[in-house]
Amino acid sequence: MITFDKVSKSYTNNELAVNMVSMEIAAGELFVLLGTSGSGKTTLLRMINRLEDPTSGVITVGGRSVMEQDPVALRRNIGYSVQGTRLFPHMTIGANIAITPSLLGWDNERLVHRINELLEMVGLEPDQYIHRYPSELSGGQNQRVGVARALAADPPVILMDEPFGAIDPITRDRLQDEFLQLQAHLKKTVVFVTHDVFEAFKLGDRIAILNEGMVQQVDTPEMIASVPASKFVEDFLGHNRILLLMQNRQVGELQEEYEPLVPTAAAGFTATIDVKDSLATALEKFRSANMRRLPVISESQMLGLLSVDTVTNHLIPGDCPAEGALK
Amino acid sequence: MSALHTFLANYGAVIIDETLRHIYLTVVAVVVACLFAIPVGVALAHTKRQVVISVVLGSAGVLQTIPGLAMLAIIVMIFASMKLPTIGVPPALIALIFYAILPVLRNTYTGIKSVDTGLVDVGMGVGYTRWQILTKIELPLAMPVIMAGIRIATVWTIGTATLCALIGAGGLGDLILKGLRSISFDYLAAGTVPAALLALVMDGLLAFAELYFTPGRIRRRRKDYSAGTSLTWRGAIAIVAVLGAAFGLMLRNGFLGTSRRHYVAAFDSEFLVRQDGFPGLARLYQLHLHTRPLQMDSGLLYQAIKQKSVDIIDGFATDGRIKAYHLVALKDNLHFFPPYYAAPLVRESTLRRYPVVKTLLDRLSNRISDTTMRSMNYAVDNQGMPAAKVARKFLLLNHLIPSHVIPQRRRIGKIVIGGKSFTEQAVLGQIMAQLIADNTNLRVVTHLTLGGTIICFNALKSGDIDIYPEYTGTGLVDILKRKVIENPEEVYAIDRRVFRQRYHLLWLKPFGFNNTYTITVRGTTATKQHLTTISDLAHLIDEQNHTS
Repeated sequence: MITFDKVSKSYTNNELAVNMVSMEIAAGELFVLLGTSGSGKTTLLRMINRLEDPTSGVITVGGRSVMEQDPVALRRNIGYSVQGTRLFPHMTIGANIAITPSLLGWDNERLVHRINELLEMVGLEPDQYIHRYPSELSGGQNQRVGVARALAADPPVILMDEPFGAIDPITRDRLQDEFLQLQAHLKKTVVFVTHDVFEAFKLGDRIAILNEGMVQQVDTPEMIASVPASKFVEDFLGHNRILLLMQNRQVGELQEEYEPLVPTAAAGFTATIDVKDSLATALEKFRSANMRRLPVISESQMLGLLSVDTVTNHLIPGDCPAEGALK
Repeated sequence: MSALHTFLANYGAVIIDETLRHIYLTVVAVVVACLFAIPVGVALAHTKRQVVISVVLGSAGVLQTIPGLAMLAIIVMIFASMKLPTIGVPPALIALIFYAILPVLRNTYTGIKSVDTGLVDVGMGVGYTRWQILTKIELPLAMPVIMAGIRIATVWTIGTATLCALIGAGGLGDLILKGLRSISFDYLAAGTVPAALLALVMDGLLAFAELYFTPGRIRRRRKDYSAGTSLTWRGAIAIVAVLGAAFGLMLRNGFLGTSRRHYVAAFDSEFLVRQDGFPGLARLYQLHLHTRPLQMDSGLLYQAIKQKSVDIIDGFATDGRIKAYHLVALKDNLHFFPPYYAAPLVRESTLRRYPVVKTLLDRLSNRISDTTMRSMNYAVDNQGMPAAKVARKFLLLNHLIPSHVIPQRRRIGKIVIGGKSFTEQAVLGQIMAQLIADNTNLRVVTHLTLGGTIICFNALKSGDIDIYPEYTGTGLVDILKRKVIENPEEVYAIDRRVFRQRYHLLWLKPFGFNNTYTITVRGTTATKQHLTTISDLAHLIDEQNHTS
């Protein structure tokens, strides 16, 4: 869907903000650009809808080079959402959402229908919010409107620049969950910029880790956490690595190592583990139940018993003593 | 309550008339200033060249520091050098426009600059064009700041526009000037109160417009989300409508000078309010002017008639420009004007203290003929000679002062000589001042630009000045409020008697010339229309009114 071919960008000071980046983003993929500030991730994003133009190299969207397309027409076909939403304060929520489709010449009936549909989609009661102004909504609500605005014209590609950046952790978590659900059935090609490792690992189908304008690794969250491609990636993940691994592995992956369930032993368990739980969640359940073995269930059917050692062995492969990592 | 009633009955119509004219001047000036300043402000906010920004904002700032009166004078001079009309609405408007530019320009620049750059970025991201970002994001968000600038400009312009009365552009300044010239509180109030109210009302209206035009300030349930006409376009349409209306009004009032079918008159503010001025003249001769006479400073009258901006003015018989500009003074066939023999009017107490002053001033008796006075006025008005030099030349020629250089001497005592603010008074004042200074040890001080008759007369009564040249007819009709008398000796005798009894002021012997008011037209007009008397003029004006 989107390809970068030896893309570089330098500003007047001649330093390369983006240095020879080549990668491909597949259609329907939620692709995260992860890096510290100054890593070039935002510049990379802004070159996709030509808010900036590359100094060299070729970017294509849908098979056509962006440089051959009219920037305004290009942008109307790409959703855009940024940190702090930046809704236009002088327009109502409805008007903010309607911008891009109205620019594409939609008639009013279709616009009103679309605004209502989108507000419902992002969990805001249309009648209650459509005529309000951004200043009358909370940060989280505005963020949802920001997402709705990016989706408004139903573009195949959506660019998101730290859209949940300036929001409290609890609301952010909820917005991320909602966005994942939305994406599960919309299947847009999303390019998502963040500096938050956990956000990247939670949302990304694939992640590109950037440093000083260069791509360090492009892979799925699991692979990045398990096999960092470079010393930089390893350092970047740091002590979060084990946490990321635990959060990105599901109990179901350990299916082959379940212990058979002895019917007589079934009594006495105070908790169960869902097959879709992450390893982190499973460990937390072991801890709070104060047990070393718990049954695994899938849709209220018991599959077997999972032991703490199986989990820790999986997280810490190699010669480490089984009892070493966790108490 | 009844006082207010009388006041309104007397001044209501003229207040409404001048207020409308004032509004017209203000609105056109502010709208034109906005049409210039807003685009320039927008361009400045988008340029990256700091030099351009400094130069433009700096020069607009300098423009603002020029006092309003000076600005008016500068524009008049520039217009004169370009052979454009120096009186009336056009030069006044130009001055007002210059004045209104800065607040709008500065606020537009600041307003646009203060728009969150992130919003502009998102505007690009959602697919707005550069123009749409300007009209849908930058201008609406900058609107409160821009409107604040427009409000400042409007209130300033209302204030500055009062000065435009000096060059015949009319407005509430007309009434204020009349009030100053005749020390009439009624006129002053009739001009000042509406001007202040106008400023308040306009400011309030603009505050409301700001609320209305700033999106998001008034809750509107939007029904139509399609990309239709924006606020900016509606604003542009409104501006064009206002300008169109203003232009129409200009055409209707003949401000553009195109095919004027009726004679336009212009008089100085004193003539317009005096007993022996326009009101009485119009009554006696049944002068039915189609438009109310313009009011302007007496110095500009001759320029205006010469340039054909107006057709009828009040002139002085002794004014050198009547002849120089090929003007014709119409004959006062119904004897409306009294004789105006000029003579020094002196405080009795001054003469008691310094008897020599009387002896000296009596030497001027019958020394200045109509011709002499006219040529002296001409020397100042047309040849640019200073009044003091003209006066000296006259005194030397008549051996009234010693021709040798007078050594510096110790001066004792003080004589203050006053004069109204026109050329003849300046020359007469200088003659008296130099005559006394060069023949006595008295210290002589001159105040030769006092507003008008009433201001001079009051200054003399209160002792702020000791002497000023006055005209017998003015004393009789304007100060004593008596009926016109034709016999010069009789007028002089009444003045002498009553002024002495009532005010302890003495009329000394007249200088000799009679400077009567005249109704003056261009020589070509007089020849073509066979005008010789004021009655002829009244008939011609009636004919014009009938044929239209």
